[in-house]
Amino acid sequence: MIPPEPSPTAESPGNGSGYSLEILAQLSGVTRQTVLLYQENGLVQELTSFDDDTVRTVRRIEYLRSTCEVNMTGLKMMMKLLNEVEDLRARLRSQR
Amino acid sequence: MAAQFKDYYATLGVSREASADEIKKAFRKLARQYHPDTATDKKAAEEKFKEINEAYEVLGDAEKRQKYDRLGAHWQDAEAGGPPPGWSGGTQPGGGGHSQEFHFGGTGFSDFFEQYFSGGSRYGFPEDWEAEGTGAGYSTAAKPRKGHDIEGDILVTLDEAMHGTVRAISLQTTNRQTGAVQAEDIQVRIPPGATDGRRIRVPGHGGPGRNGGAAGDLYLRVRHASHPEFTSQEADLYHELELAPWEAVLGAEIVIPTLDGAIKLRVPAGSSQGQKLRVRGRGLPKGKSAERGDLFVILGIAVPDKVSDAERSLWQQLKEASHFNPRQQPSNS
Repeated sequence: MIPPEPSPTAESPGNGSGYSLEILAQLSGVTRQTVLLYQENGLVQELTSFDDDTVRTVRRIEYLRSTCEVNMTGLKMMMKLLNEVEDLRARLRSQR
Repeated sequence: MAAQFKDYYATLGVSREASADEIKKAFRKLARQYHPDTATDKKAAEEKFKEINEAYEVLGDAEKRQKYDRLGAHWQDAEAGGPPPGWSGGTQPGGGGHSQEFHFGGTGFSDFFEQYFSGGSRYGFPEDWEAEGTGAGYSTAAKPRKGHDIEGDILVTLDEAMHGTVRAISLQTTNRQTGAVQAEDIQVRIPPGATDGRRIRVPGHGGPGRNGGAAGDLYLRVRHASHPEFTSQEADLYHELELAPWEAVLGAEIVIPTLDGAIKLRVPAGSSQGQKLRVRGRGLPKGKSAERGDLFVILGIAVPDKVSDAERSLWQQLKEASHFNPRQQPSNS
């Protein structure tokens, strides 16, 4: 039996309210300390309110870190590249 | 069960050798014709409009078009049961591919698009394939693991993006190994100001968890449908406005559309081709406050291709009276 999503405020933020750091950590399946570590290393923006894109980003970083065993240097490089690719794609799209 | 192949070239009415420019023109013309706001037969237009948008999503992107052309050439092989060509860039772990098949309904995109051209299928993240027992993290079996995330696209009109909306999506999941099919209807809330590329997270509708772990999440990527009058970039909107030569030279007051009604725009005298006029606060909603992006009007100057004799004579007079030469370097005189 799969337990339900353990969060009282897991609804997608769209009416202006984002996720707190605690909720972000919970939804991404990592500890609060981990998110802070990511922020320190520039992998996650230093904000107090987060959106769905950040949940996804943290999940991806966590996958790279725990399953693919990528170290912090590698994580920084990868996320920088992924973000750059995404920005470029968005720019191309807007020129269509 | 492979998705049905879509002939995007036929949808846009262009040849397979069409240039990017030809495809763009064909798309804009059709998008204008079938847009729900401007179409005459709205019901028939709706389906066609979605198809046109999807076709351009693929053919309007050089990389996707290339992939599509390769896919089309080998479609017969794929149906015979071989691995679909161009799948996830060609590198696959172990058995390769998903252990589950996802079919979306109501997103505005076909299964064919979601399976081959959706944004999620890149770089080998678990959205793409499951480690299925390979990889260091999965070797300790007993630990509960959250299911992987899946990503799809959802076609959203600018009107929906402006005001926000709730969309009914259906998601059908087929487990490739057991053949078990699960269908569910999901309500997805698109918030006001949802920009193109923004991800909407639908918790618990991703891949199933292992060893009692929670299911992964579904991420739907917002894709703005084309609009006859506007293109979008983040919260800003862009509108191309064609002016008559005298309107650009003398200035004019032109009525232009916005997402919340028409407004009068003052075009200053001496406006040139390509100039951008900014209309503040007429873009999409931004974030928490009542703040909105801007509407940029890009000016174009159109020239009449046929003129009457009287007009021609006036232009001739103007030519003789004017010292204007756009090719001359500015002098100090």
